[in-house]
This record gives sequence, structure tokens and C-alpha cells, in this order.
Amino acid sequence: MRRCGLAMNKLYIMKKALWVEPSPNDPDALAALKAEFPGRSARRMTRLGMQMSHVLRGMSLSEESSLVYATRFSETQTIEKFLGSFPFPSPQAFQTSIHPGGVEQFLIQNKQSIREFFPLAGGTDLLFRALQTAMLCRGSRIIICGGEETGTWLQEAGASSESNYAWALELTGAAKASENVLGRLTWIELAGAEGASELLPDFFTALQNSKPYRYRSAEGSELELNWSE
Amino acid sequence: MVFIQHAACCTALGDAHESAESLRAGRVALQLSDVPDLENEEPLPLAYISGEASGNRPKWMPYLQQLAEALPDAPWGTARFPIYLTSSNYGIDQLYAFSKARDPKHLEWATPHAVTAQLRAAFGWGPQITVLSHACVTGQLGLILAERAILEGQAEAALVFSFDFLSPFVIGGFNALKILNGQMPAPYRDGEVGAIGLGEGAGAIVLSASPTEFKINKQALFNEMFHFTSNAPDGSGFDRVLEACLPAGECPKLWVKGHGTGTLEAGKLEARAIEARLKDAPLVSWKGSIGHTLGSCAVVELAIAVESLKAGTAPGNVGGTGPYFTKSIQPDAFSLAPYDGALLLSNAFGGAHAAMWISYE
Repeated sequence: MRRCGLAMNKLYIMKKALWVEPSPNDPDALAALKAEFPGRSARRMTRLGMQMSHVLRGMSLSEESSLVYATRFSETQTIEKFLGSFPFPSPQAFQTSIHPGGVEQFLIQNKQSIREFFPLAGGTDLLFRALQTAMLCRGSRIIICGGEETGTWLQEAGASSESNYAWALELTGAAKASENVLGRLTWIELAGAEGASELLPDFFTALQNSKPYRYRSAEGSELELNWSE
Repeated sequence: MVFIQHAACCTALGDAHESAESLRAGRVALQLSDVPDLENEEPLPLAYISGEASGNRPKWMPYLQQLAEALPDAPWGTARFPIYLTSSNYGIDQLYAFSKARDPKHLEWATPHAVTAQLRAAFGWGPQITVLSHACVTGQLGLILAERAILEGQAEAALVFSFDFLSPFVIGGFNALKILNGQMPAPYRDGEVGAIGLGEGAGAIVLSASPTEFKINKQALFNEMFHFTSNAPDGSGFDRVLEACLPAGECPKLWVKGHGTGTLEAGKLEARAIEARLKDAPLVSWKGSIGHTLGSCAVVELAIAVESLKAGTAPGNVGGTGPYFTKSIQPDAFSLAPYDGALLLSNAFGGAHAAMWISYE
């Protein structure tokens, strides 16, 4: 299907995983998340790293998969900690503040090598950019994931997320009839999704509730999320 | 097939032409410098591009402006002319400044999306911009996606725009890891102490399907995920990316611009993997002069490689002297006449490997 010369893109959702916080900075949710990691390993992880690990654990990651990671602010809490450590900068905080540490914490802990890994940063159109990147991946399965963590003074300055969350979808361009397809994502990207601050939060809510979702930007971009019966 | 239409950069040695020329002459841009924000006992090897902040604009903006003004005329940032913006640090210098002074003017440049918005406003780019950040292989990720967007017919031409500038955040971080220390880097030198130098760099590469004398044969990625800051000790990550990028069973006549930062273990593994796969290929690194320009290094060094190809002579392995890990290290500038292609490599934390094989008429 084409409109204005641009193709309708389509990817099938084979798996989804979410990490949802019942209320902002809920201590019980954080304790439960930490308990998922053996021994003292959670102490060396960032909050976002634990969240991303939670959602990636169930994905069919292999060396032949392609992984696309989308986050606007990445390891906010560790960046705050690293900045606070000057004039004696902390090596540990520097190491874990580097994008894409949130996902690398999971991959390295599991010694999971992977051929294609495309970590994205960016603005409110990040979901479109991640999907467009997924269309250029060559892996046997495509895993697209994202997440954010809150900050303290960076959050007050508007330079971090206001909530903690993570999501991951396992996608394929061509699902076999025998496969259990959860849903599908279709989109037309004409220009982008400038200023669409509600796009990612609303998309996450739709994933959470397995509800259909449709987004149309003023510039003409469209995104639809539909679920199988 | 995808071809390089335009390649430009700036380093502490000047533009791509000046950088290539200075590197061929063996000039070292890195200088041991004090970093006032660090309680550090020793000066560190750093290669700055000169410049002053102006109003709310960071000091590096005029260099990006120059690169943008020199681009081929096209509606950059639209669906058929996408941009891949690549950096490992974006405006982290501004975030650092905000953390010290709490002046909101720094926030206007402090995040990747804030920098993207500033560049769009300054250069009149459209919104079709993919913002990538994967430490020191970021530039190569942009080049791979740009090539694929053209091969898939999504794009007519694609721009990979890249930059990384130094700040106490970055310098302090690498110094804390001890790999940036008071030693000048000597890539591939078989010595007692390894060291990197950090440099500032920015570059712009335009790719399209229109034939030019510089053709991209293949690009490849491999992510070991063995450790955050070190490679698998058997060197398998280096082997895997070479295996994916080069034709099986063949030994093309290539010269190699390696990643070569000056760290010992990675330098040894890289040099040995290249010698094993490409027996007679000369191996060079330029980071002993211009420093490691981090996320922009693949783009910056590609622009210098293209200038070298135009001149018919490539810079040797600049910075330090032997003994080297392998005999393939080429210390002096050398003629490119015997070679029909170049292999360009970059690596990053997490054992990320990226490779690009280009050939030329």
C-alpha cells in the first residue's frame, strides 16, 4: 500500500515484554526488580539496566538477531552520580553512564554476542526512528526495545524521564502461518512526529493494555498498532 | 552499489586535506595538557580544535556550521535525503557545564535531542534524522544504515554527520579508567604501558548510488558483549568482524586503517587478527596524532582516508615508535599504488567491532 509515493511499512509482533511501575519511584517495585538478579549483581547495575534486563530476558536473542534500542535520556541516575563525583570522577559511574549501557548490562551479564545492535537516542519521534531502523536490520529476528529512568536534579531541569519503564517487542517482517502472531505495527512516515510528546507514553500504554492504538501527526506520519483476535 | 559522494572532516590538524597532509608528515596534534576541573597529578594527551563559545552556542558549533555549509545541495532531513546523526557525547559538555553553574542556557544543548533541534534550526534540516549513539562505533553505525537506506531504495542520498568534542566529563571518565594517563599514545607499540589520547573531531559523509571513484564494497558489525571495557582474550571479536566484511577464502590487496587507540591488549589483538587475515596489508592508526575522536572516529578517519586516496599516499602509523606487535605496522607514509582497496575499522566498549571495505578506481 502506498500513499504519496511512500510505502506502508509493516512488522508483526511475535513477543512483547514490559516493565511497568505501579506508581512513580515505587520502592517495592524496585525491590522486586532487584530480586530478579542473582547474588549482589543488582548492586552493580543501573535502574534502567535492570528494567531492560527484565524485558529482554524473554526475547529470542541470538547472535543472528538484530537489536534496536531507543532511549531519550539513558542512564540518568548514573550520569547524575558521575557528575557529582568531580573533581575525582568515578570509573564505575563513568563506565555505566555510557549509552547504550542499559542494554549492554543484560547482554554482557549473559555473554550474549550479537551481530547488529543499533542504539538510538533522540526526541519525541524516537519510535518512528526506531521502527525505520528496524526495517533496515538484517537479522533473523528483530528485537526493538526502549526504556527510561527518572532522575533527581536532572528531572527537575527537564533533562530526564518523569517515569521508570521499559518495553521490548520481538518483530518479524514475514510471519509464518503456523506462528503465533500477537499483533502488527503499520506505519507511514512522511515527515516525522515533531513535538509528539504523547507518542511514546501512549504507545506504551497501548502495549500494556493490548489495546489498538493509532497515531497521526500534523505532518502526516501515521502509526497503527493492532492486536490479533 | 553505494558510493562516497562527499567526505569532509575537521580535526585538531585542520580540515580533511590538511589533516591528511599533516599526518603524512608525521605531525602529532596531541599535547600534554592540564585539565583544571580534575584533581589530577599529570597533564593528559589531548588534541583540541581551537574555538570560543559565542553567546549560547558551544565553541564547537562553528565547525559543524562549516561542514554543513560545504554539503552538496539537497533537502537534507527529508524522506529521500535522511540524516544519520552520530556522536558518543552530543552536548555532554553542556550538561557538565549545567551541573556546575545550573545556568539553563546550557540545557538548550545538553541532550542529544536538544542538539538535534539546534542543528535543524541552524542548518535548515528537515525532521528525518536518526540519532545514533554507540560509543566509539557510532559513526560506522550511521554509515551502515545510510548505505542500507540507499540499497533498500528508501533514500536517494544519505548524510552521515558526526562530531565529538572534549569536556571534563569525557576526559575525567577516561582518566578514571586509567587508559587516559600521562603517557602519549603509541598505537600497536609492544610496550609496558598502554595509553590513549583524546581528540576533537567532526565529519560529514554523503553516500548515494551515483558512481564515484570511491565504492563501498561491504560493511560489517559484530558485538562481543564479553566485558564492558575489554575484548574476549582470544581475539575472536576481531576475527568475526573481518570474516563478515571480507570475502571468504580471498586475500584482497588492501591497506588497513585500524582502530589503534594505544591500549595494549586491544592493539595486540587487532594487529594479530589483521596479520592473520591479510598477510601483506600495511596497518596504520592515526589516533597517536589526532587522538581518539570517539563516536566520530569512523567518519573523521574515513574523510582522511578519502583525502589520502586522492593524493595516492596514506599517512603511516603516527605517534610513537616500535617495537610493534606485528610486522604489518607501517610507520611511515606510503604509496597506495599497490593496493586496490582500504579496510577501515573501529571498536567500542562492550567489544563492539565495525568494519568498512572500500575500493577505488
